[in-house]
Amino acid sequence: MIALLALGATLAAENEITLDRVDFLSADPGTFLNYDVPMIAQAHPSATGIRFLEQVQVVLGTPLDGLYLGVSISSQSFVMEQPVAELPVDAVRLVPDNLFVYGGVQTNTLIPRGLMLGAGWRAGPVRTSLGLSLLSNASWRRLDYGHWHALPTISVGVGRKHASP
Amino acid sequence: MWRWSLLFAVAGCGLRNAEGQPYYEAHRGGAGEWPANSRAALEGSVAAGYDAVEFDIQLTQDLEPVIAHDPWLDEELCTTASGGSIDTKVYFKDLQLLDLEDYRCGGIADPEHPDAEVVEGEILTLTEALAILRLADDAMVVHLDVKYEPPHTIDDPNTFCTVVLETWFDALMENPMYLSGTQPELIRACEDAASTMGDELETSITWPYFPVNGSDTLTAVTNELGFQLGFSDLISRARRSDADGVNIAWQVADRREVEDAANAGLNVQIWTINDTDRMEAFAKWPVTSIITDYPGMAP
Repeated sequence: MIALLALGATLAAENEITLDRVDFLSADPGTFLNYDVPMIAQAHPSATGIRFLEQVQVVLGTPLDGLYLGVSISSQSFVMEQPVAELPVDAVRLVPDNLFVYGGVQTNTLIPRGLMLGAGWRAGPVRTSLGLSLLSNASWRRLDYGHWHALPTISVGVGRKHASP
Repeated sequence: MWRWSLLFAVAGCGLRNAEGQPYYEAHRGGAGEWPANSRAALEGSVAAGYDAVEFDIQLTQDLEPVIAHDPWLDEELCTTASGGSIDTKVYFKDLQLLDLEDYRCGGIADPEHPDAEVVEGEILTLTEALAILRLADDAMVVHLDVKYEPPHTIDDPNTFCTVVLETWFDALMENPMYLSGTQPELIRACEDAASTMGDELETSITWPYFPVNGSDTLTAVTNELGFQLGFSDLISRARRSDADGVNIAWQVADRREVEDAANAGLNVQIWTINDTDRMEAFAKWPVTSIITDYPGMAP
C-alpha cells in the first residue's frame, strides 16, 4: 500500500498520476457501511473510529483515461469509470451528463479478493455512487476464494471537478 | 437529506441475523454479582441455574490448579488471613498449595463491580470448584480459562494441560466443558494431552492476547492492522492452535471475521459484555456464547 502511494507520488511528479478525490465513505470494500455502521451504538467507539479511518480511500487518476487507483488501509482497487453519456447506447441521451458506471477489482494488500461495480454521479467536486461489492476471504494469510460476501455499497468522495462529457 | 436516508437504508443490508441464540457464561463465576473466581460465585451461579460458568486457572509451585485470574495474588482484592494487606507481588508459581491458606480473597469490595456481594473466602482449588459444580444441572457448560502466561507462570504448557485435564477427568463431570487460553502452544498441548488420555477436548484460542503489563491499545491496534492488511485472521490463528473456536474481546470484534469464523465451523465466544443493549446486539452475530459478569441481565 505504501509502495503504491510512493509509486503514485513518483508518477504524479511526472504528471502521469493525479489526485482525483478522497472517498470519505468508500465503496471499497464496503464493510464499514454494512458491518460497523449498524453497530455504531454498541461497538467500542475507538474500534468504529479506527475502522472508519481504515476505509477512507485516496483515489488517483492514472494515465489511462477512466482508470482509477484507490488506496486505503483496508483495501486497494483498480476501477474503470465510464460516463454513461459516452456509452454506445442510444438511450443514454436521456440520462444526466454527470452519471457514470464503474467496475473494478479489489485487492487486500495487492492480493485480488473481490469485484465492485455500480453507478454514480459527480456534482462539482462531490462524487457519490451506489453499487455492489463482491468480497472473498482471500488475503496473504489465506487464499480463500471459497466464501463470498455480497455487500451493497455507497460511496461519498470529494475531489477534482470533472468536465462534463 | 435523501442521501442520509439512502445511506441508512443501505447500511447493514449485507447482514443476516444469526439463527438461534447464544448462551451466556458467568464470567469468573459471575463477577458482577459475587467476588470473582470465588466459592460464593460458583455456588451462586449453580443456584441461579446459569447457562454456563467461566473461571480462571493458575498453577501453584507444587502443580495444584487453583482458581485465580492473575499470575499473582490480587493485591487489591485479597488480604492475608489475618486481614493484613499484600504489599508485594506474590506469584502462584512461587507458592505451595498450603501457603494459600495464609490468604483470603473477596472480602474487599471490588471497585469494578460495586454492587457485587462482598464475601471473604479461601482461594479454591480446581478440585473444590468442580465439587461445587457437580451440584449444577448437567447441561451447564464449564469454561476453564487456563492462565498459561510465561514468564509469570510455570512455562511448561504440557504440565499445565496434564494437571488441569487429569483433575477434570478424575472428577467424572457430566457437564460439557471447553478450555481456553491465549497461547497457541497451550491449546495444542492440551489437545495432545486429552488425546493421550483417550478423551475429546473442545478448545478456544483467546484473541487478542493482551500481555500482562503490556499496552492494551497497542495490542488492539496491532491486531487490527494485521487483519486489515491480510497478514492475520481468526481462522488462521485457530487452525495454527488446533483450536475448535475463538474467544474474542468485544471491543475489537469484527462481524465479518466472526461470520467467516462461524462459516468455517469454529465456535465463537465474545467477552466480556456487561450491558443489555450490547448483549442484544452481539446476540444477533453468529456467536456460540457471550461471556458476561452479569448473566442475570442476559436478554
